[in-house]
Amino acid sequence: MPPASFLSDAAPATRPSEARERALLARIAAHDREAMRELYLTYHRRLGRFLTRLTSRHDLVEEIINDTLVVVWQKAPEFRGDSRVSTWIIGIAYRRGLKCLRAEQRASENMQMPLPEDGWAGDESADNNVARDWLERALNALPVDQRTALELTYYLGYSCEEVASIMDCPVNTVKTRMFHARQKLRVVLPLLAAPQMEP
Amino acid sequence: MQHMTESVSCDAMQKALPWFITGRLAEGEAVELRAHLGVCETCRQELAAEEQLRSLIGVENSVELAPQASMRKFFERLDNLEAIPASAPTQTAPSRFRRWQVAAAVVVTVQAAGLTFLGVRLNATDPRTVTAAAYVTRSAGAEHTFGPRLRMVVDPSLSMAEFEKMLQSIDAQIISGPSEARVYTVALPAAVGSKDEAARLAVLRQNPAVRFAEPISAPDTRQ
Repeated sequence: MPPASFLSDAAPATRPSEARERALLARIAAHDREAMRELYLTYHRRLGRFLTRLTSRHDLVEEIINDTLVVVWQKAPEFRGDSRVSTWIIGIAYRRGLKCLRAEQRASENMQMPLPEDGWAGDESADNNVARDWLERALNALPVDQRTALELTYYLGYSCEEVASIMDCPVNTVKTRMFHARQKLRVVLPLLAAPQMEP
Repeated sequence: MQHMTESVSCDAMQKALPWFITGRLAEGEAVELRAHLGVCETCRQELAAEEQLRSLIGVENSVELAPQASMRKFFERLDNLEAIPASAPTQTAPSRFRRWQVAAAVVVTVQAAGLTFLGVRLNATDPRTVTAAAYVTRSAGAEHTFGPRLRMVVDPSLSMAEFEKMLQSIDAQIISGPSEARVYTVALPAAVGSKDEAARLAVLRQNPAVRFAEPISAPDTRQ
């Protein structure tokens, strides 16, 4: 069952939204503030969703969002259209925020609790919260590159090529990063699957 | 198209699984993968495990942030980007100051040592200092005669527009800052005498957003 948030975010491949964004970008290149406002609202939400899955620091997220959209304002005239508008913008956000995100990831690593090796005995309701907690910790423990590949793929629904464009790396690198992320998270899976797996 | 699926690398197939699951795998690759799954139990198990993982990750919600406050700050930044230095009608240095372009130029004419500018960006939690890091005026070439100088610290909640308005009301301009401690050095016009200086300082101190404002006592040219 795909996550509802991904569906409501308008899949990147939707052509009408791409055409609309390109039209906005053309107006922004002419310094149309109303167009910028419209794009801002769309991307504040979209970038916020992406970035808040990589860091819990909302102040950093807001800073990265605004930095990114300032760049969009300035570079709109240079957008050549060889990528989707969304991959271009999210790529800017990712690169812009990389330093912040890596520092944040190092900080959260220091708070990392060790993952349990075996299952544990507990009541069902508590299990769910504990399970979510383990998943959250496991996600936080991933290197930023691996977590980004994972979130872009599973949360934002980008193709491998689009992720490569956003992260500015080869497709095979994306697959490798994704693979490592998945392997690490599999450690947590037996815990999350107990007692009953949700469909 | 027939494939010798046993010879196809399971490793390569498994690496492509995430995009197969999300429906974002290229058609040719998807066809190949489906064929492989038809004959490879190991990869079928991998697919099941991966679907499980994916459904669990997706359930974690991200936070929705309200955009209005950020958008306001954003458009203030755009205003600052486009601020043109005023052709000075007064005898003193122009009271407008450029921001991002100045930061890019990174030219500091004030003889202050040890001020960090862009370096404070990622460390500061004060959103205003992100843009304010560029708040270094560059005298247009020639030296300017600045009047009495003040050091001041303002509340982080004060917007740049409000700060600017406050300084304009006493005809002051920022000549350096913020430092890491968020201290700005501000100069009054050259013609201002000590009584006038005291009056303008009082205006600043009246503003609740001003945490600290003190004259730099020695009439020197160093910070």
